[in-house]
Amino acid sequence: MNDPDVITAVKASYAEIHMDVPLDVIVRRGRRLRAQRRLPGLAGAAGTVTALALAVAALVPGSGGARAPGNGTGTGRLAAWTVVSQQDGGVRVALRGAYVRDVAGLQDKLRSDGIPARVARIGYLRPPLNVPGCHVFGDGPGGTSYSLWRKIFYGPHTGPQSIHAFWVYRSAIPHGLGVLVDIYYDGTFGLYLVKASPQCTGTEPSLGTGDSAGS
Amino acid sequence: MRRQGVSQEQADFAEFYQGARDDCLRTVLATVRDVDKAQDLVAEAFARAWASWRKVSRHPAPRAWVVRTALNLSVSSWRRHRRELPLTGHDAPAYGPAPSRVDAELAAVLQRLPARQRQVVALRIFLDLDTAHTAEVLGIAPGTVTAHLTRALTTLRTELAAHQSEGDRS
Repeated sequence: MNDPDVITAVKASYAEIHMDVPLDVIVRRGRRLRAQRRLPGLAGAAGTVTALALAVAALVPGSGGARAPGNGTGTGRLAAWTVVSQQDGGVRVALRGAYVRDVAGLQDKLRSDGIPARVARIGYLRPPLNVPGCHVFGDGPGGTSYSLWRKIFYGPHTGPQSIHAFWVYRSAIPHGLGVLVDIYYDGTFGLYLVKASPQCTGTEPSLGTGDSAGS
Repeated sequence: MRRQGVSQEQADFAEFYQGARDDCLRTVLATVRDVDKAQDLVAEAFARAWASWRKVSRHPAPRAWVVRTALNLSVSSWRRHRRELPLTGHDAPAYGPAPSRVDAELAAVLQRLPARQRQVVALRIFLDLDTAHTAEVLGIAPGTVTAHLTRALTTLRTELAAHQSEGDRS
């Protein structure tokens, strides 16, 4: 067996390996990265200060209040996520990098705040179409509009907050819809709209809104 | 006018993605060994390529840029994850583990190679990079690339020949 034979054999053995992530998922993620780069430096600095404040608060026992630190894996560990109700009616969710494992805890917290939510770790940039029990809307034909998506996840803001934090404006969520938060391995996330259902969002389709529940 | 520029850019990127994605995935897979993880890393690397497309499209070897980015992500991901504790209770991926699609015997031989040799083999075989570009991607000297490739091919040839002769005897 000579070198070209070896090379041919190696190539042939990987011939059935194919990348199955659709182009539009890549492009969407790339756009998000571009948008994050455009955030003004001042906003970035303010975000860092806020994140530090949240992280420190999460380390201090009894500092909960409106905050709900997740991933209670013991002392000395920063919270994996914080959920903070805002005065403008939105909820701000901050994730802390790759420590976000307690997705069930975050999901429970969002639901208790009246948000029909599903939180999952589907896998980085996977099309989140196969979330068990969920019907995920795309943004193309048959999907939901981008303006609705913006109302729910941006509210009065003009763009994303950071790669590790987002808002949810529950009053903008129409009846029958819910939100899917797909947390990637590095603590960033994807935000999608889903059909509300007991299996997916823990809510009845006709009751999928809510300023009513939670704190 | 600007919209036209953007759609042309996106068309260029789409063409690049369609043509390069499988080779980049195979190259990264040969290094990280896990299909799902390799897909994640390569997807993120392509997303970053699109985010910086004006720069990447002018790169002398855009595929190598993607693979380098994916391998860098792999290293930083490993650095973070080694500090984590696995917790249960979260949603598992809906599609389950990927089926083994790589020839098991050959994959085993390849995986037994030292990491650097695997990387060199993958870049040379799947991306068809020359010695200079392989050296640039891996940040090593061209002579080192040649040495790693020679050793890797010798090992692969010996082990595959041994497997073949075992198969012939049985």
